[in-house]
Amino acid sequence: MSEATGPSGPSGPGFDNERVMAEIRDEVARRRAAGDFPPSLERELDLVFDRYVPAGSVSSDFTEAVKAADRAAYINVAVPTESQKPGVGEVKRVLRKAMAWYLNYLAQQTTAFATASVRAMRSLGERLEMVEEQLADLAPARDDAADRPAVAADLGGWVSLCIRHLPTRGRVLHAECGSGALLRSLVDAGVDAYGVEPRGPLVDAAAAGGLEAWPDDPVEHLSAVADGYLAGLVLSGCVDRLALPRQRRLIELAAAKLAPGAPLILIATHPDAWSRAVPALEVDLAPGRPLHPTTWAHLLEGARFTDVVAQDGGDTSALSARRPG
Amino acid sequence: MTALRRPPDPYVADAGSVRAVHQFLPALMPGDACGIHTLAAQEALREAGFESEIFCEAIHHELDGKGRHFSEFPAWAAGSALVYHLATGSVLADYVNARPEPLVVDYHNLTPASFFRRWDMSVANAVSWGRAQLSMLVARTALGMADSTYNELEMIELDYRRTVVVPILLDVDAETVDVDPATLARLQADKAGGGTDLLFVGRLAPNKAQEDLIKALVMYRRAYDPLARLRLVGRPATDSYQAALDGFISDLGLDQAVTIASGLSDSQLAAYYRTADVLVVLSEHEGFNTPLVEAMRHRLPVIAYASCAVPETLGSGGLLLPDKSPSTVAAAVHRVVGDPALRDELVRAGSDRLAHFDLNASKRRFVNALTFLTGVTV
Repeated sequence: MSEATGPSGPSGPGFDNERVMAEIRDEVARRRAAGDFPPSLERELDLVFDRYVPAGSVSSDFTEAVKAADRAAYINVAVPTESQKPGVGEVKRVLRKAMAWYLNYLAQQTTAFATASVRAMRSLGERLEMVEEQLADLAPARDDAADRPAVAADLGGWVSLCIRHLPTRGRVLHAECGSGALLRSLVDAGVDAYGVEPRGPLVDAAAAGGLEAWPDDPVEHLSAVADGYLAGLVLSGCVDRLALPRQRRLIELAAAKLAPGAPLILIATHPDAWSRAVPALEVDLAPGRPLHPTTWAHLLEGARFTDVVAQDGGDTSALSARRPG
Repeated sequence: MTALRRPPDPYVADAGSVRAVHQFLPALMPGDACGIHTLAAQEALREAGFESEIFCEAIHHELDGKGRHFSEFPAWAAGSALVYHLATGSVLADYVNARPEPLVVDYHNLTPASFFRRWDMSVANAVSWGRAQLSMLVARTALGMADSTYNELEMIELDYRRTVVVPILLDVDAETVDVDPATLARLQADKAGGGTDLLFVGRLAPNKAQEDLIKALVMYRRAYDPLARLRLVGRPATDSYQAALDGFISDLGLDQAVTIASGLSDSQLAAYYRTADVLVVLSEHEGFNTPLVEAMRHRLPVIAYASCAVPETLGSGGLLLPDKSPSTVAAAVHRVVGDPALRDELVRAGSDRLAHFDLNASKRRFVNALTFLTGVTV
């Protein structure tokens, strides 16, 4: 799902955009529940079109660019001398001959410079390719939760905390929403909440329950949301298994996408409890590990969140914080 | 021979010394919003008593005589000011930059190159070139003109000192529309067999996201109207993107339901507006979007994704979507097409919004924006 980068729609007198959009959202929820709008079809449509999107072609572009530079490196001083006007061609030929000593001198230096530059570019390209290959070996495994079994964490203990902090006006995102248990509680409490979840069966279950749930990666989804768009954000699941750079990125995105003063609730599994509570497959394949609540608090404060409070709930902790107003 | 002399920075002539305002744009093409705007601006300038000619790199044969090649512009045009219409990279930018006359840059937006890099590097390079030229012209420009606040903000970010918003000059009078009867008859015959007609008008380009319209059509046909059609009107910006759309349409078995038309005359295009049930715009990037205004002119309800300058152009004249998932778009189309009261409400809202684009008012704004150069107010 993409989000608007502009204002969410001015409404003039006589036409209430918000009212109609609320009706449309209800219609979508009804149709989803009836199976008319299966999220799996939306995913399939994306995949079908993606097959036609040209693969990244940076290296080939570079090669082509170098080839083009190579072709242009030779400076030809043999200026065309033909002319339709009588006598002009002869004048041009005389001028070319007369200036040849001068132009050849400049052209030789220019060609030498251009050739050396192209050679340097080729060398740079080869070295860059080597670096890219080495980086590919070092890159952490991709966190493709969609490939793993559909297991949702139990967040029931944190419902009241979320409802206490989250506003009932403005859009609130829960990422990852799993099968939608917490999302359902938020919606029932009057919060305008939607969710994203990368695991197909879970998001299908949430959507089948009439919830607005999207099949998407939390980090990618947040990247696409307009700055300051969210009135609240709940993060869970993904925070436990992302690699550290992606965990930091998630917090940066949360700070950017929340409206000033909007709350963030981060529900994290304790590192010790993680290997006990989470299936071995998920633990072994995860590119990262959970962080301690104090570490999350440190990262949140580093991203300039205020009112950071951690609450212990046994195997999980919840941190509440606010984006500065 | 008079020696060339540059006026001092910022190239502003004494008010009242300008008697001619000449316009430069890379290509004068029929049906192109930038060309239509330029021709209307010329009319406004001439009506205000200025000499005004249009100079281009390329002129479509249908517009022969409306413009001249820029090489015909005199080496020294005393008492002239220049308006350069910037929407792509062009040698004309370098040309006007080197001229001594006061310069106005009328910015019609550049699609970010990132939209094209995967599809066509030559197009990506052309828009990157244009953006570099937009920066280059800052120091040389007496006035930055933009057809939306969105575009104006881009100019301000680049440090254009004096800027103004003048809506694109379009004839929005519904009474003056000429509709091609043959096209109208053909489209009406299609319609007689049933099915909702969704319309999109604009170049086939990645930033216009025509694939999202096709996805929405799939959902709409599945849930509401199996006979629904999508009509895409516009020239391809890149062959590779059009090939992808063709393949996508074919894979989904929608060859009969999705049609792509390009090279239409104004009257043929009018027939498309007249027979459609709704205009749907799901673009990721728009600096203004003329078809939104055209749809209002043809009393066609509009559904648009709220990106970039779309909310500003549409105002309250249509339904703005905060997201464009296929389900949301399908439900929105159903809501608008299936509810005559809402449809009428949107058409009325569109008609009200049209007042903002009244051609005579916009012409006055265009001419008056130049008052500090010309001393003329209309």
